[in-house]
Amino acid sequence: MSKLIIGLGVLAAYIGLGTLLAVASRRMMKGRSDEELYVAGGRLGGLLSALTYAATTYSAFMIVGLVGFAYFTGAGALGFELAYLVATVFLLTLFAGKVWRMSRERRWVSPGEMLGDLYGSRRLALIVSTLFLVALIPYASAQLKGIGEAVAGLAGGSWEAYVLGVAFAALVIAAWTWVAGMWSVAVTDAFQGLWMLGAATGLLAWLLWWGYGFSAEKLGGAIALLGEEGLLGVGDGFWKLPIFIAFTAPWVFFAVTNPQVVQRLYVPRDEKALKKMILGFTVFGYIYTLMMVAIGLLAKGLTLQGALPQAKAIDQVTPTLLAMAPAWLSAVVFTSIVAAAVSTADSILLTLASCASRDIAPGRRWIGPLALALCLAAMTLVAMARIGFIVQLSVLSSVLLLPLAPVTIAAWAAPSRVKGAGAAAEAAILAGVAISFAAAAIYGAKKAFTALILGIPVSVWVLLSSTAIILLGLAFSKK
Amino acid sequence: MKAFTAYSVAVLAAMYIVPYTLLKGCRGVELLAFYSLLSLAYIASALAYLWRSWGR
Repeated sequence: MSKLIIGLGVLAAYIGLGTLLAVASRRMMKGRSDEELYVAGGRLGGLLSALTYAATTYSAFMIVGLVGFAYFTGAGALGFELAYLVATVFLLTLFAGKVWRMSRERRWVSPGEMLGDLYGSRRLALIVSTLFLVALIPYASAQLKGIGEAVAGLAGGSWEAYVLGVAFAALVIAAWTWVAGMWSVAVTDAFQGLWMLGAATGLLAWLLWWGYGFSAEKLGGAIALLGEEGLLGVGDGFWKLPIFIAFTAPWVFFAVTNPQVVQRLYVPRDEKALKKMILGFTVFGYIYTLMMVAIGLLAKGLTLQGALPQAKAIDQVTPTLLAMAPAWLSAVVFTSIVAAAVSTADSILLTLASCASRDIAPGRRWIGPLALALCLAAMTLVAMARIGFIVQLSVLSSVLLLPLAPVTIAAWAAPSRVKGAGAAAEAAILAGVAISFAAAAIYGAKKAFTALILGIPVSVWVLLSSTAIILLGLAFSKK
Repeated sequence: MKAFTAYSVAVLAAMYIVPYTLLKGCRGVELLAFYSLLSLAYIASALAYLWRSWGR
């Protein structure tokens, strides 16, 4: 049986099982109110909450991008990803309980609504939700593009296969989002999260067996070669300190700037479930990160020993490995790439619909489904264009959302002090967005991410300016 | 809360400072071990703090 048939068979099984779970999740739904549709009525258990948080956070970037980064840039990739995890655990430990309790008292559904309520400004909610739409549609489109490219790769790179892959992914995302809103998204996320973890375990075990024969001696040889290549240290190669800061600055604040994860703080049914969510996500994230970096470094070790062809680009490392792997494993890992992309994209889609429904045109029940359809259509059309600029825009999205970090942290830390400081929050966000766009216009969307101004990354300038404005605004409003 | 915040910021700062000073240009597994063990120790302590402090 050819790899293509096995690949499509496993993909069909994944879609079939996911659809069954999505349909079954409808039994847990009580009506189609905004609360039920977008935050599961705040009744999710700890395990479901943890897996949906993890699957939403960890996109196809991990198994494609992080593996490639570890392969090409070495140990710094581990520091970059673990800095995100440590910062997220810190922010969740500090604020998740407080945010969860406030979401119960104030009946928040969308993250824009949360900021609008805390700052006492409807206009702020509108600005924030519009920013989410601008920043996250390219990010979600990049997930669809990734699926299209993966399917096209199976069929020799044809345009028809790419379009079919994107269209099919859009259909799956629409179905799993629409069937039962957050319920079906969370249940399919849990299924997909477990698939991602299982596939990564399988790939790592196969790599250790096929490439190294589980031999400590061979592993030691690979480590020595990696060391000689300078891939086990930082400072001299890719990971110079300003680059490390530029890469990590947007991600250490991911838990407070990205609405699809902020919204997941509202869904656990009680504080016990919330604690389990944080524990489960953290364990998932730590194991998954270590496995991805190990796969990248082990693959590089094999390349240095002449046992694996040199990958041509960062996103070609995993496909190079899959070309050598048994057909069944290749199919499972390929499907895990699709799962990672779908679980991130459908969560973003649902969150954007909630922002439209609650902040952009509140009070109109038809706006949620309409926004869902329009956002998905926009994501699909942008992905269909198959232009590299989508990926660049999705990279820029992380910087665009960065000004929300000081605004959100100030509101979470001192909710009573920020009330009435909506204008300062708006100014902080707009200033950060303006700096991001100006940097993108000067350096290009992709280079804006790593560009240095006076030796400091653009992302840090965005953070500093937004922080200064919000602090000044709070001081002024207090007087 | 303040002590936990200070501890967390120190751990995060260590993830930026130590690799570029004490472990700069290392050729063994020291940096990989540093990142993974420091993160593991922090995660374990943060979760212990979370369990102890919430719901009191």
